[in-house]
Amino acid sequence: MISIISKLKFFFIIFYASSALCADITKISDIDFGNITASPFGDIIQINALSGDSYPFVASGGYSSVSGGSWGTIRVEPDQPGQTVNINYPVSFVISKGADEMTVSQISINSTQNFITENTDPVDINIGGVLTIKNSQAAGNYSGSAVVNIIINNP
Amino acid sequence: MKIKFNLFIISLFISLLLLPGILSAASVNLNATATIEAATLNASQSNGIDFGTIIISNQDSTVSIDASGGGATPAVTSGNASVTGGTSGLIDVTTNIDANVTITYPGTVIIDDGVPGNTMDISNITSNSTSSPLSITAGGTNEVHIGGDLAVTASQTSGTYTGTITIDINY
Repeated sequence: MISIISKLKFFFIIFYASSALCADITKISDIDFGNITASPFGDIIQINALSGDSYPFVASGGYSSVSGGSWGTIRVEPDQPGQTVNINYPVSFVISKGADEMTVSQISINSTQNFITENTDPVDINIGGVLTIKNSQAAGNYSGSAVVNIIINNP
Repeated sequence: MKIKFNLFIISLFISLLLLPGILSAASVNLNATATIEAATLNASQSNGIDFGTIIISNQDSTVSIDASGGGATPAVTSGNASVTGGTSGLIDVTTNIDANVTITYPGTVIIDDGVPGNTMDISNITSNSTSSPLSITAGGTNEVHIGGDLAVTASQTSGTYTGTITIDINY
């Protein structure tokens, strides 16, 4: 009996150790919609990071112009292949300058989707979204934050 | 020994319950920023419209400046007056975005020499000026040329006639 228990303990320890590994998750960069010269009629600024790196552009065909800016990045460093990475983005969030606000939305469809790790190489989750500029949006520096939840399951 | 074995079984059971579930989860606080600069639109008169020096004759006349295609000079388009000198008006427009602007001209403007009753009408300003909408560019040369038809009667009192044309330019 003692021998059986010892063997079970050994397998249990090995099994537990191999399964208890977890990936490292690190934010590399935030989202920056850049410097926007806004049309008085408002506009839509988009960062489409669904397929990778992406810079802001005027998506609504309006008169606004945008320079600079970049997508956000969260880096996942898997511990093993086959880990399922589920990413939950916020539906929308507000960035503000005092009482003046703009909304960032459509984050999920403009960002990296759920994936399964192929190896232990770092994988970047690229995050974009759509910024809505209202008519006669007040000038200034707007900022805000949102929470991205990342859940990793072992195979 | 039995207790030890039971503890092991319990541990194993708990472990098996936990392992197939979530092994790693993180909430990452992501910041977003944007800098907004308001669009600007400025217009200033570079030069006023000048119908030149007109010598009237025995017929009512029209002195026209057709600036619809750019800067222009006056010409007599009806009657037998004559004209020398003069030029179309010019407004310089500056902006920080590429856009279309609408230009609204007045229908008729009256100019006078300061004596009651001594007036002349400027009409057809819209058709003789830069058309609307106008495409303007940031950092570009954006010009609005102003023309029109000046009605001069055969008995027009001599003098210098002046007036003001108000033109609205908007996004």
